[in-house]
Amino acid sequence: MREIKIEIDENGKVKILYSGFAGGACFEEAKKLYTLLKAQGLDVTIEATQVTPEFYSTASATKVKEVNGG
Amino acid sequence: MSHFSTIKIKIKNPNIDLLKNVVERIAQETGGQIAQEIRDYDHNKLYQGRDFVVALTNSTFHRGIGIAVDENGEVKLVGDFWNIPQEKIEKFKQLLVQGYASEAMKQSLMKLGYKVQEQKIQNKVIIHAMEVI
Repeated sequence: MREIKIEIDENGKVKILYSGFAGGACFEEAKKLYTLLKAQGLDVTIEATQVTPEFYSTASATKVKEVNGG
Repeated sequence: MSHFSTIKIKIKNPNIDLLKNVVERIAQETGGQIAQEIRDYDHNKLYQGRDFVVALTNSTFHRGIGIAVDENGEVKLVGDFWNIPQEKIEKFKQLLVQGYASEAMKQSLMKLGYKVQEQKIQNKVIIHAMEVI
């Protein structure tokens, strides 16, 4: 199942984890989400992107690796 | 394939209805109420529609704090903040940005066909979106 987990901190920093997507579909979904957010009045600046181990397989199990925000 | 992103967000050209909903929620959560007008120390007044989009009063902002959108789509806070600690103003800004981001995120995810759940843990908002099958 496709899932998106989002954490929004009080400084407007947002961490998003996409899991359960096949192939490059998660990047397509991210693009759609950012377009909708912009239409809702939110400017998005991407600070970091990291593929998870799922990138290398089609398995749905996902491990999250922390990314330090700048 | 999956990935993990860190993004920075900023309110620009906000959806006015969404902005009003968020400020209403902040008013409820802080024991305040929506205000049609706010005033300064000398009782000069600013009005909804002319000077700001939406405003609230509460125990911190007893003269009122208004949210305006300038010609560039940037959100500005208006009001007389004399004697109000800067950290209280910063906290309000944070609540506004976080609340707006949360609502915009949930609405966008629902448009993409997800079922969403929201939790507030300490000072963070956590949203879990699951594909509706």
